[in-house]
Amino acid sequence: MCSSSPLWPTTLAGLGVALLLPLQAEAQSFVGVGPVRSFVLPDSSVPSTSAEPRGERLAAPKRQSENAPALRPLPVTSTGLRFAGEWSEKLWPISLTIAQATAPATLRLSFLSAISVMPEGSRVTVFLNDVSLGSASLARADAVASRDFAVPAGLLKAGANALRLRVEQRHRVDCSPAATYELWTVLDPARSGLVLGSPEPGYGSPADIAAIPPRASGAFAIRLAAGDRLSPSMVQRAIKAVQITALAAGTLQPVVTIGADGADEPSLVLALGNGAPAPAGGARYGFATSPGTPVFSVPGRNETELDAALESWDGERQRAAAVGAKAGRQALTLQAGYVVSGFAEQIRLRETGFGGMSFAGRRFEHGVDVVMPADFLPADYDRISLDLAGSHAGGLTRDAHVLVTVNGRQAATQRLNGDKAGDLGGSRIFLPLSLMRPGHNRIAIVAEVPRPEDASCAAPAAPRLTLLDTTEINLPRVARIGRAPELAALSAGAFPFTQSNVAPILYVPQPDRETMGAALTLVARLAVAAGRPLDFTFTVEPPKADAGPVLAVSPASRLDPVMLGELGLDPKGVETAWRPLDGRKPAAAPVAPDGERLAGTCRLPSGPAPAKPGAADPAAAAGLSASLPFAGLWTSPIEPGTVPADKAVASGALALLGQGYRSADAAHTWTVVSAPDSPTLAAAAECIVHPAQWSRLAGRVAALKGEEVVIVAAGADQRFVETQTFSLPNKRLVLAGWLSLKPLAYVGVALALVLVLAFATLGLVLNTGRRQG
Amino acid sequence: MLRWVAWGSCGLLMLLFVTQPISVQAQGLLGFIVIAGLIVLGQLPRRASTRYLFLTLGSVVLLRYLYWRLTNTLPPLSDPVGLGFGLVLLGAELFCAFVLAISLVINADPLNRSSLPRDDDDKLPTVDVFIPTYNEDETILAMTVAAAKGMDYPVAKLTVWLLDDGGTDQKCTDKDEARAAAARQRRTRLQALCREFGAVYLTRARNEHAKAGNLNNGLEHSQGEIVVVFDADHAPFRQFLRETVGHFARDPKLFLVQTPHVFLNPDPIEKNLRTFERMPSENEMFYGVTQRGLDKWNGSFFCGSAALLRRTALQTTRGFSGLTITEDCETAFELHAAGWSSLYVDKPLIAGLQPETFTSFIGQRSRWCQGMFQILMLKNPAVRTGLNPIQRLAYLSSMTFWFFPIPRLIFMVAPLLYIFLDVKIFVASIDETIAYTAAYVGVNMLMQSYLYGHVRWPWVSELYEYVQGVFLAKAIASVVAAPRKPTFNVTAKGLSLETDHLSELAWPFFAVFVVLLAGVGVAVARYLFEPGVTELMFVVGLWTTFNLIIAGAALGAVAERRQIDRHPRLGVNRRATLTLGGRSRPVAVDDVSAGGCAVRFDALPDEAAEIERGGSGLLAIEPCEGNPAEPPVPVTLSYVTRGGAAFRCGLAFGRLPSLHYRAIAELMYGDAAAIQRFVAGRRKPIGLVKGSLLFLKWGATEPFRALSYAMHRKPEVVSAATADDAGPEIAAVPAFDPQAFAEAVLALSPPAADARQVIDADVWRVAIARMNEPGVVATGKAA
Repeated sequence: MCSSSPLWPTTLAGLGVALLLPLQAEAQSFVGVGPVRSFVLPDSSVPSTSAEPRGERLAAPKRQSENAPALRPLPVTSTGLRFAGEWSEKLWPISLTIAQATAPATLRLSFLSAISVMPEGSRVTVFLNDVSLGSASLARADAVASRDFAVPAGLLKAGANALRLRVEQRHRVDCSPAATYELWTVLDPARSGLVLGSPEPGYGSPADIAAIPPRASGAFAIRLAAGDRLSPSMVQRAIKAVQITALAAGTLQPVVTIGADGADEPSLVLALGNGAPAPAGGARYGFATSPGTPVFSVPGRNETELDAALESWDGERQRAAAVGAKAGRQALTLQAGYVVSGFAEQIRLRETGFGGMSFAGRRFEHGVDVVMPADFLPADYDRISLDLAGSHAGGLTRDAHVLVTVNGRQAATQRLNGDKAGDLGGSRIFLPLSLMRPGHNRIAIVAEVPRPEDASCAAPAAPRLTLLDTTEINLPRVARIGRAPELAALSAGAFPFTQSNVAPILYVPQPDRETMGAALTLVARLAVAAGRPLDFTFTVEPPKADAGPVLAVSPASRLDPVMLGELGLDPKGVETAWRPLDGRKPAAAPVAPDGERLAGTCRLPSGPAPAKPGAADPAAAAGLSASLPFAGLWTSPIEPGTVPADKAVASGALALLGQGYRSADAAHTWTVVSAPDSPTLAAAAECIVHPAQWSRLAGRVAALKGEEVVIVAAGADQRFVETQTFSLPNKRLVLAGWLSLKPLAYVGVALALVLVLAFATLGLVLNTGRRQG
Repeated sequence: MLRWVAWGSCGLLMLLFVTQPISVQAQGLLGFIVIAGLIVLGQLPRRASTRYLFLTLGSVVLLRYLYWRLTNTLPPLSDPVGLGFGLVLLGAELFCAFVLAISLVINADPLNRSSLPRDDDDKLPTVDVFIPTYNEDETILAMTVAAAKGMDYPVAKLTVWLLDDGGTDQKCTDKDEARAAAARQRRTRLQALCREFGAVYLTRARNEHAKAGNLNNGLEHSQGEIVVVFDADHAPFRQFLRETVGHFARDPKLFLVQTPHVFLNPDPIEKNLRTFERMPSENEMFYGVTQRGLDKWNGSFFCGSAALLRRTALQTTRGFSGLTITEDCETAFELHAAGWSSLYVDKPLIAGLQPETFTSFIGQRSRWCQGMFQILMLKNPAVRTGLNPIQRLAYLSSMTFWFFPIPRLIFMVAPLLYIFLDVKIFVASIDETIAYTAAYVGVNMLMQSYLYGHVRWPWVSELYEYVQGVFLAKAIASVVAAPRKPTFNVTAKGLSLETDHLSELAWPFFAVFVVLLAGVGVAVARYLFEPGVTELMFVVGLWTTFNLIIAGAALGAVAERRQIDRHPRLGVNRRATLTLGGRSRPVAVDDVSAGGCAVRFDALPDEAAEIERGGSGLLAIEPCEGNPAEPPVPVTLSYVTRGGAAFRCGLAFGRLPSLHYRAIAELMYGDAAAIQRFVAGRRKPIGLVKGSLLFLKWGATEPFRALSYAMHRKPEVVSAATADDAGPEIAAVPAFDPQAFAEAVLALSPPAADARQVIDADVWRVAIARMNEPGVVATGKAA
């Protein structure tokens, strides 16, 4: 259906304002080829600035104002919605317009707790902008419960606000540390959030985009309305516009749809081009006057005007100072975690939003989210040190200890002398740098402080552990070099699309609605990762091997099998795995049933069952070589949690994100996002950009299988790409990193140098000073 | 130049490489492979190429360790106490690394000199031998003067000077009349001794500038082209001058030829740990390696004795320098700075005495230590013009070496801070500690063993450093506070120990031992029973255990054993004729000392009755080839043992007229091969494992011996060679009848080859002629 020839239409069919058609799911091009489509804006009352509207109309979506007072869900963060264990704290930024901030508000929390949680002994405490709104006991285990907390007038600020929830949970019958694993409470995102009394949100400046409520899932939805058929040049502008929007929204999960998709949920309509409504006040861009779904309009009569408007908008976005409560501004910056510079850095826990605590339970866990640079080279050329500040009580059992995990892997343990009270800061804890990865990392401090009386649940509720916010994490200066293929670098900082010397390319061989939505969703998320809009060039034609870094988004059937082969995948295997099954419906968008929705993550339906159960076991895949002593000295060890490439898709995954290269220059890396068909691809894109999945991307190929991400190790194929301007210290660290990963090479270099130096010394000494005999 | 550039570039590359931060796994692998490589290289024949490969390979791990210590192990700023102590420990380690680095440079290629050809007598320079003395016993001086006079050198060109500072006018007119009388008596007796030996006695008005002043007084009164200095207790072997003096003619800028100091008696540590016969002495590392290393760079220096100096060179610096109390090093330093060169002959050519008691040993070391610091502070080699860079480095090394007590004590105390007070002065995880520290310790041991294994047993350096460190730290503090204050103390030698006892300096060692023992106990208890304690305690506990072993061995070093031999003996391989009970028989002389000798001869069936303890006789010594024959020496039979068909007899010389010392000196010092055999016999590397096990044994058992001594009464220390205690006067030496003696010898049967040698007519003609000299007869008659 999609023509391979560049037959761009000259006719712009729909210049009017109309709702989008409910399109059939079949792949149809609407990028200048294939059947003509019209775009219409949601509200016909918006005056048309162009010719007669064309195309079919949809029923208008429900206006948000009809639900007033509206519940404003919480945005998605990297920490999720699940409070586990005896003590857990989470932080959300909430952006508001002036009108919203000044309106009477209530905070509503709906949650479900595990059966083992003792509701009367467990509570949730709410802090808004660091002011406590009070505590409430947790829910009964058998139903979702709601608690409302009145927000004092004047507490909310226009701009960013911070919501902090602290959950303390007790077990009903068991007081052992192990029992704390059964304690959890999950927020229901659809029924939790600020209930604002304001009838109208009052969106004014472009910065108010951040105040547009997210979907119930926490994602920020952008519905693109850009006239009828998108010309490639319009796609080019749309690419930029959705990126600016995602950045302005400050979201971690931008989801772009085109037309009416997702119209029944809160979203921002991004109207672009000639048919877009005029922004209020006659500006070149801005919110259009619209009573319902907010419409941000960038009209522009031609490409030049549109480009100038987008430029100007992005400039204004960059210049805008962060506004809001102090805690809110901090929460906004901590949304994805504490972003580190890559240079030696000392992070105090208070800078990560932790305010210190006194803990009376058995097992305490606190995670610190740290975002490493995209070009960070993880290896043990240095180490992270953790200086705990705090104390523990006496009378603990001999098992009392502090455990530190990095990205779920145990990094260090420190036993506590539980007989008597003591300082936690006794000794420095070292964490291997190799456990970190580019992008999101979680360093979790787990303290188990049981008392002998816990066996009979007779222990008094006196504090056992105090962890101060002066606890420090010392990060060394890290080696900075881009690696390709490496999806962690992509998720962390949109590498390789951020390289300055080559322009990135968006290649969509089948530009239908869903595929384009998926592509724009990914592009928007990449902009968020990069912290700036990326200048993608759009094409439907296969770009040359050395044209630049390519983002290819397409159903697998439209992809060149060679390309799949370059990802290390077997094209035939992919074809077999993703052959449409009889009667199987295309995957729906990831609006999950209650239980999964409450899990706060995103999942795709499962694909066909894997041919060989257990084949994805990395140890089995590594075979004999991995079991040999010192195997890691000769070959890169199979990274934990990864599988061989040919197992990735065959294990039942429904979407894949992979990297490979067709050129000798690793700068021209291909990033391929694929799925069996367009609707699955759209669902997959939304899922991939969910923080829970996005932060797990790593290696050469990531395949989505349910809510699991199957990772294929980048391994030996990985190449280095320069990302930093020349600096000797960095070069040295990169070399150190490389040598750390290849111990045998290190020893080889050492021996070669020894040989050369020994003979140089011999030559020098024998010919200097007095001679023998 | 090109070589320097090549070496510099390679060195820079290596430096860049070792300063690469690297994973613990890679470091561990490097350490493992380097240690394996060193073990393999250590087995290969010692060639220059393998030597440099060995040293460079080892250096990689050492440098890695240093880099890691500097960058990764210091406590954080938030722990100022830990950081402070951590820096102190790091400083101590850096000092050791500095010393090691310099020693690697200096010992890059220790020189092996070939022997000089024998020069014609008429080409030899005139030589003045200076034997400075202050309070040494006459017996010791007699041996030294006799040996000096016996050196193989044209008589007309050799003058031996006894420079007596014990009989100066100042001493002879001391306000204390008893002292003055003793000084006068000393002067008279030594004058007589010199007359007998044909030496020159010289003293001076005042004891100014100690030994340097005394030597300069000698310089003023003498004229020889070459000046030889022997300490009063350093007797030269006959070959001394022939092996050394020829170098001066070959290098007109040569100011010094130094030879090694070798001792006949053990130092207190050797004596108390009973290692003298089998373990290389402490100074052998210096004389066996370092001085040879310095020789390569024209940096070997004067050690106060057993050395030759050029008069014209000394005149340019107005004689021996006496600003500091180590005039020897100071003199060499001045002359090197003036552009003169030095040379080292690595051949034992003298045999001397060293302090017997721990107290006098410490006194001697304190003087060396203070003197070296004086030079460092008063004449800093780093800024002294005239020295070349390696000489500068060499002198700095010799001086800064004496800082060793400070790091040694720091290494002792540092782990205790963690064990007792929880002060963390070293921050590292256990796997890093193993990968870096274990590799470092292993490589360090292997390198030490490779470089010094033949002259130093494992851990012995640590022991010597520790036993000195406790007291030298004080000496360092005092010299640093007042660099010009220390004065020259003559080291007491020739002392004898009657009973087993503890040195009066022993108590600090007990105190340290108890503290370390408590440290180990607490470390074990904390590691086993205290939950918060990590593997770091294990490492620190091991470290303290190691310190405890040193401290245990040190207790053995200060638990003074009774000294059985009053006079140190030297194994020789000589022949003589022993006349006893009216019968003469050829004997083999196995060893000799100033007090007696041991002989061996085949027993005859009817001889048992004749051989009685206490019997007197005469021992006629067959001189070495080229040496003049000396009259027979009166001896007393002190013991007899019979093994199979052979007798072994101990013969005491007793109190003899000075003249007989010529014969005894000839027996003892007639052939340097004797001392060379002795030294070479000890230079057998014991190996790391065996050496470590032995050290472990000392650490475990010596504290018990020390404890048992602590229960003993305090003993008297007496001079070994004083007249009162020099053994029984030989009351009934038979009047010597040369003719009868010669006949008896001629009648020896059977006429074996050996016997024919003994009865060489020439030998006896000379002997008899000497016996007829008036002095001898008079003495003999008096007896």
